Amino acid sequence: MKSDIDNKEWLDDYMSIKQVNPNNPFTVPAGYFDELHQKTMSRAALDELSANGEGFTLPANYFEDMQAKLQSRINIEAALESTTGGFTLPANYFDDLQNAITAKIARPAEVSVKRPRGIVRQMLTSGVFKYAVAACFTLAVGVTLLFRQEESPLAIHNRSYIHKALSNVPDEDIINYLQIHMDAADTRGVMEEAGEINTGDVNAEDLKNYLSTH
Amino acid sequence: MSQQVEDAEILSKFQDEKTRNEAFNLLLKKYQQKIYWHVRRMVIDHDDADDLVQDVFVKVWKSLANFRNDAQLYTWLYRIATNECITFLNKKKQKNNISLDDVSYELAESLADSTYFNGDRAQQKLQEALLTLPEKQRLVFNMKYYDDMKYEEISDVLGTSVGALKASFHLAVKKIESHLLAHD
Repeated sequence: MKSDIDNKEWLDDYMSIKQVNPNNPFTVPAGYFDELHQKTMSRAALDELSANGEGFTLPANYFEDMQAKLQSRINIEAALESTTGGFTLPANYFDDLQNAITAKIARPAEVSVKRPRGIVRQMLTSGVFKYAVAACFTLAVGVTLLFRQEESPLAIHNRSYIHKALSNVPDEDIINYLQIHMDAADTRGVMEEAGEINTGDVNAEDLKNYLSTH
Repeated sequence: MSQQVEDAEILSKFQDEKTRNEAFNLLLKKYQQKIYWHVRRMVIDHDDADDLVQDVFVKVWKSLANFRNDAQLYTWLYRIATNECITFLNKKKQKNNISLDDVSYELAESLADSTYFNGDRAQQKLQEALLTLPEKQRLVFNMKYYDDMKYEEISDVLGTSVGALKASFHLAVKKIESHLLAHD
């Protein structure tokens, strides 16, 4: 970079430029170049350190093994993710959930208003349900009473102990017993209770006649 | 000729691991100021120039082992510094999304506000005129006017033919003269 005398001859053609002081008009802070030297040496030293990997070493085949490890991790993560059944959550769901719970604790009345009615149906508090229960109860009681009233005296008698006991006694023995032990007072009582006596295929009128004559 | 010997000595010492730091020390002492002023005249602001010069020499530190003697050391250094300046100015344009004229305006403002500029009125006008030029013309003018470099040397730095450089320089000088006369 030798100074070339001819280099400045061009200025003769441009007097306005030639009149300008050719010295460098820029300046630097005091001692700047000494400092720059030190800074540059430090930067170069740091650069060399970083280029040497900062002194750390790696196990043999580290980067080759890393790919297999990463693939395994990815597979495990994918498997774990699949156990959630593929469900996802809205963004920040759990953060919002905590806020919602906190708000419910703080203001229960207000929160109950906000509860989604379309999902939870409270049947026990419904008027229709109450009326339905009352109707069923009435129907059950009514049916029970009806059956009890409809049941015939014969059916009741057939289920009685005395009927079961006398069923094993021959008719002839009963007739003989009655002829010997009955009197006129007993006849009226038997007639009043005739509807409840199992007379089988015997006509009730015939039986009354029989009793009145005996 | 002595410069060639010194450059050869620097390069030789840099090849040896034991004397590498010593070689780099010699290189810094010899070229840091030239590189600084080359960069400073392009980016105007001292702090920007300071950062860029350090970047330049860190790149030199990384690449000097691969330097081949088919080029002169100082033109190689100038080439690295020039590329850093152009990259910096392009980033400045992209970052602020501004045109070349606006970059020139910003640089002129930086010059006016600079603590480290003690030129007279004529020197300030010359710098303002230079800031209106395209970067390539500014580079050619600076290397010719301030560094007294020959076209062949500038050609090595910029990778442009001597003929194209002469045309560039001629255009630059005409524009500067017009600017100076218009703002006299």
